[in-house]
Amino acid sequence: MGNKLKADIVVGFCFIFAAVAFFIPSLKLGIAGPEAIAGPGPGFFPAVCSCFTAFFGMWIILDAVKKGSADFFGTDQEQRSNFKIIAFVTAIFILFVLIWAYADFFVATALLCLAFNKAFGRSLKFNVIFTLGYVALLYGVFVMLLDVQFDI
Amino acid sequence: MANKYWKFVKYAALSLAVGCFASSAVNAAAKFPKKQVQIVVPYAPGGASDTVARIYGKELEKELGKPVVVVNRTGASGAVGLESVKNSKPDGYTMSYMPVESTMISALGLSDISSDDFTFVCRVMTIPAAITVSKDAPWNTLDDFLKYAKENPGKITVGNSGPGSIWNVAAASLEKAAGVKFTHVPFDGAAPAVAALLGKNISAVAVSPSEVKTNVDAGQFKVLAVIGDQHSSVVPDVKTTKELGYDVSAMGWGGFAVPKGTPADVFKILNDASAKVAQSEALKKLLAERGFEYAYLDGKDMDAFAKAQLAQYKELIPQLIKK
Amino acid sequence: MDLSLWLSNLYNILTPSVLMFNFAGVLIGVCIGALPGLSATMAVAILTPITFWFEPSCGFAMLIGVWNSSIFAGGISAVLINTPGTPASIASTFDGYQLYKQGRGGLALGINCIYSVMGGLISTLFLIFLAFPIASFTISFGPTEYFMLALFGLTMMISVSENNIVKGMAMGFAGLMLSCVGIDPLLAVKRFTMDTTALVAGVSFLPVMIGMFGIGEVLNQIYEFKKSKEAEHMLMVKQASSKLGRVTPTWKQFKAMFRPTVLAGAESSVIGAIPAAGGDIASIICWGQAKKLSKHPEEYGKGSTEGFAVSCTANNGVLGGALTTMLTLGIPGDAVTAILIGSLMMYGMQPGPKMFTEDAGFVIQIMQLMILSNLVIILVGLSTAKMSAKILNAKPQTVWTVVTVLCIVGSYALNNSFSDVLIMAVAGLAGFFFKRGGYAPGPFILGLLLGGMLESNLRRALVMSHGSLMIFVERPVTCVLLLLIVITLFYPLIKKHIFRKA
Repeated sequence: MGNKLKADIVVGFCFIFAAVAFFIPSLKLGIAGPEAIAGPGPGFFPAVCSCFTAFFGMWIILDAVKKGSADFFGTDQEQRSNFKIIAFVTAIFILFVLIWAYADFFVATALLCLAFNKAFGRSLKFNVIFTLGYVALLYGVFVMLLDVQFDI
Repeated sequence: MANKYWKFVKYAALSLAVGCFASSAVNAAAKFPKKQVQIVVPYAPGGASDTVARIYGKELEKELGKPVVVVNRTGASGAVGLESVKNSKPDGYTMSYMPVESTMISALGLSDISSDDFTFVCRVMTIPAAITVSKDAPWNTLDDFLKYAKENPGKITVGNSGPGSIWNVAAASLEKAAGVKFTHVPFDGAAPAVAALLGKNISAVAVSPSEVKTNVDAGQFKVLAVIGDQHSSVVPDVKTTKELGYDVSAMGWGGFAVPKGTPADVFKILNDASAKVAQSEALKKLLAERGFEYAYLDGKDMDAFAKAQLAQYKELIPQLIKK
Repeated sequence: MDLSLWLSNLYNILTPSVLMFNFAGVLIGVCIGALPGLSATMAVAILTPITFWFEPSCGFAMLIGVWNSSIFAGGISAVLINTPGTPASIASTFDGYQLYKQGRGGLALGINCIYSVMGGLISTLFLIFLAFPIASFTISFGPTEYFMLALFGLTMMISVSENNIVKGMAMGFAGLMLSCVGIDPLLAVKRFTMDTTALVAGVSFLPVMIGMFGIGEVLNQIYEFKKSKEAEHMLMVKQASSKLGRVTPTWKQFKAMFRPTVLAGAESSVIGAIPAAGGDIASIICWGQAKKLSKHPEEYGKGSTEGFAVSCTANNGVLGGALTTMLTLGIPGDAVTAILIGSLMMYGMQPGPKMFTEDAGFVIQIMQLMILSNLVIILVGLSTAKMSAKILNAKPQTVWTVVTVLCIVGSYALNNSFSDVLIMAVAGLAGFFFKRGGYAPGPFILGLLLGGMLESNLRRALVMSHGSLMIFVERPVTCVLLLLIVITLFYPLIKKHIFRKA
């Protein structure tokens, strides 16, 4: 089993990579502080944390090599097919962000609701009623009552 | 039947759109606030700047006849909020609360944004700094305090409300003018700094008089000097540093501005409305209660004042806060 | 305190208008607090300008009602959608959501209500009887003590690492690392900002938390969903909701929870009185500490009623503590008390030691309003608990859509920040993958939350001591805290050892 799954090794390397990405700029920021102010400098704390992150990242890799990686997504075909939904939902979210940025928040939200409900296989009637009701509720609570401004 | 109905809707929508377009093209300003105006406060809700902006907004609403909403966008010493206003459409519908930090952020290197990106509508208040020590501290005058600092360099710890904050600059200016050395301890806001003085963890704080008023009244603190141009209304008996012979002046202020490029006629409406708002009883009462000095300047004067401040801090900050 | 003064002020409080404003405040607070991203601070800040036109007692009735109930309501969304409504209920997600998943959502909501109120009442008692001694103790807290508190909170990383401590620690330190993004707390230099203003403001932990817990959970459920098992699942939900019947804990449960929750109430009252420590750290510390002392520590984080009750007690117990510092010293312990001080000034009162002599009547009224608000909360909370749990027994697909949009709105409304929404979304995707791989998000959130407090106070302390580390052992309170940390870390070992000997 151990030699088939490598997910944890990849994640471990991600931790080490992130740690290095933080460690190098930390050196530039200065581990020791400037003379004007006592104590360690701006780079000290991030450097220490990145060392620990890298250490535990390596430990994860070691564990994964020795004991095998955790099983992230299983082998159940029915579950695996849900990846399609997750990819679709993510794409919709990106679209939502763009519509919000260039048009209007509530239009974007309505479309998001319609698309999500469609992806989850709800009936059209439910979808329309739900979307209208929910968007109206959000508008009432956040814009009318709480004065939240959604234009960016 | 259905077709006819749609035709009607289409025409109605079209004529509405044309109407809007025409009126906006012909006369942008005559009906300036057509929708609600928003004021962005670059600090958290509940703080002093936020309260002032909210009262200002309430009064401005009466003048403009359209709702005025206050929006908080915090972060990076105010740079986040200011940047969002700078990037908004310069149509007068987005205003910003302008703190003194707007003239300091660029010198601190946090962001390129500065007060030059805005046109001021008004200034409403100034806030001096007060050098405050514990009641049982051995110093009773600023001279005692500075003499001790001179004899014991670095031994006096002075708390301020954050690195590169106006109070940090105030204490550092005093340090430079008197030729002494303090140990500056930056806190995350004025309240923790005051708490640290009350808990005797530091020897002095440089924050605004209003922030230490409670403890001064309760006899826990004494104010040695005010760093500012005039006496503070909170502690009217305390002399300013200038009167005591040290040429330092660093004070906070708060005003309102619109992004550069706002049409002149729109600006004029806001400027005139602000003049009335700034004179309103509600605002004056709030400022007096909070211990801020009422100091109205109109847009043009304030622009000039901000320019001078910007130039001053550009020169001062790199010297004062050694990195 | 003077009994006749108490009675005469009670008479002033028990008028229809005060009661009405208090009730209205509680209702508004429940609505705002239960929505993720809308914090208690926001609720109080929005209502404050309105209250200026009221009588002081009416205005404060409303504000104190809103404050108490929004903190309580933060636990509702922690239970129902795994996302804390306010930062203070971060520890409530550890057990609350698990309880809900086990079909004990009604009980969880009941516990949230009862123990939030208990926390509020215990801390009010502390405020009434011990305000001055507590305040004079907590005000002496300096950077070294805050550093130790943050460290104390971080030791809980191990407790919330679920099954794999190595993975949890990697997550925790990554969170600490991420907390360094933004402006350096002592020197105001930019760190890891990649020259964007959004990052100069730092990565605030709330959007990350909303993403990791809220969106991460939604994605995970989408992934685990099986059409073939849907009917089976709905049946289970139906059974669960019919079991919802019991909202209040049984007498046996109540007895078992009595000691840890009373302790948590006392602890959080003191932590709340420390000027720069709030509900989030209080509930984390109380939860972790209760776990160590518990007879069933293995249940914590997996739906322990005891752990959940402790965290609920702790987040409301902070309020009385925060009021203690505010009233006795005039120093705001958090954003809400800062606003309350502003309102008091508007009414011409100056919080501080003098207020206890000059406006003693109003101080008493504030205490009475605390008690009143909590009584109203128990009324409102228990009567709506069953209903709110049933609403969320909707089809999972409906919940997914609703929660996703709420997470978006919540992360935006926190700071009217679009970049926070993006951070939330990225954290959501990351949270999903981490969850699948057994990487607990809890330590990551803790690291992000406490990193700033840990670093800035460490360095602040060293500035004050001119670089000498001795400052950490010279101060008695710091030493005691350090000792406590060591004991908590090694308590399991010590316990084993003693056990073996016996």
